[in-house]
Amino acid sequence: MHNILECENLSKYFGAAKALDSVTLSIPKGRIVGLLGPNGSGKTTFIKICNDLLTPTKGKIRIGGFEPGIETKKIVSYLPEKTYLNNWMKVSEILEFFKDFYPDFNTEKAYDMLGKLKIDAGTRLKTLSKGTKEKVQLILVMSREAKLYLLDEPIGGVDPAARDYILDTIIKNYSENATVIISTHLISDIEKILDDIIFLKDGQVILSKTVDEVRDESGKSIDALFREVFRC
Amino acid sequence: MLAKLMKYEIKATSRWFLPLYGTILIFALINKFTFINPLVNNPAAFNNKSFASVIKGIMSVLPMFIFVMLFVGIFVTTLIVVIQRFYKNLLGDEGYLMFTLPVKAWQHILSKLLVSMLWYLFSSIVALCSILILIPGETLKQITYALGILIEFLGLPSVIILVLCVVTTLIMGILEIYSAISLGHLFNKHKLLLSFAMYLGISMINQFVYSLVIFLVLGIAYIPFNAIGDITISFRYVLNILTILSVIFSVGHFCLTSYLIKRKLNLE
Repeated sequence: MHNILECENLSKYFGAAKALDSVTLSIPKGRIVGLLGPNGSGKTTFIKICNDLLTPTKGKIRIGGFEPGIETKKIVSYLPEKTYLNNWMKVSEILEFFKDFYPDFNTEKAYDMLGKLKIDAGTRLKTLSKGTKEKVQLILVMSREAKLYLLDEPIGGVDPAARDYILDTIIKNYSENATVIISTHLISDIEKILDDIIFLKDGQVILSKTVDEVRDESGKSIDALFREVFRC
Repeated sequence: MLAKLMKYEIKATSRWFLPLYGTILIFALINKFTFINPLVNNPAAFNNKSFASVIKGIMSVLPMFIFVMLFVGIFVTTLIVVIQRFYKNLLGDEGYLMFTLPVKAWQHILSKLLVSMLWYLFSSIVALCSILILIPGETLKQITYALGILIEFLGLPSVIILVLCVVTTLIMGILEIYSAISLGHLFNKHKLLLSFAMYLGISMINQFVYSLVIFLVLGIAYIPFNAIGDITISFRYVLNILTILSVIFSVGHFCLTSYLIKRKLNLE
């Protein structure tokens, strides 16, 4: 199978509001995809549906051939925009937790990254700063050898220097066949690592192309194109 | 997977209970020497109105006061942990982690329920132990004697069904809380307040159905409540009905909570 994620007419309504409106997409394996759009365009709703955290109102979605559920959770590594770490574990204990529940978790890799970011594995999660918590979460998520990484605003809360490290981490730590979907509105920072882009506006896909296509056709950077499309 | 969930649930909750259990047992021991033993050995000293003995009396009452608070606290804590773990670990931000584990929604609920039951059991055992430490041997003998008579009077089947009834009612109580919190989370605002309102609603429905069923069944079966010879039979009859009702309500609330979490939940 060529595509890791396929969805057809995927819609999610909250009352009368259409958070996601007939989204049809095919995302191949081995790509880094930018899911781009302004606030409230449906990025998080889409990612939550992929993670079985929301049930779609209409339409179909398949990840690795499965509907969101146990089978997809085994192959999807998800970084939410929220901090989901509890306050009673140590960093080493949350690594153990991941190892326990995800067979694809690579503990060695995680310790390696912790070392590089100078985070002590013996620290309690409670005492970490917000930025460090985000880094720990990213390490947890990228230490899995997953088939699909869903990263919701992975660089929103950290300083520019850490952003570069995070993007490096993302590129270095996903395997050939894995796909990474990054949702963000900080486009200029991640533009250089993207293969494909999807523009979301009011719950609808208004553009889905490879970065090369965009550059060839319009001669613009993704950032410039975004500013043009979403001009207020 | 259920075993793993339970392992982490126990780890997360034991840091509340173990210190509390230790403290209450220590205070039971302290009170045995500062309050109970003097009372048993020298009751006259408590009637002595001299200043020194009043101070001494207050000094011995204080640990007893703390003990009673701890005794109540142990069950209050158990209840708070039941609520807090479900509310925070599943429906709060931690839910983003828990619900993306490759685990079914019902396994999350079951693991929390079983671990809650485990803590209710341990809390009861510790409470019982603290009483056993506290009360004098002579009184203990009298109590066990009285209990023996009561069990003989009720008959072993009644005692077994009584235990079963308490356990199922407790399970139902926990699942009702889960249902109420899940229902409260369907709203965008005032989730805690609405969860509480939902709990009141659920309790009222529960009470209504219980009263109705017991009234109808006893009425139809013509079991005379006041016929003294049949009181143990009536007792067992009512317990049977209560147990069956708790099981039905438990299954209902378990399914409702699973459904709400799987289909309707939208984490903030």
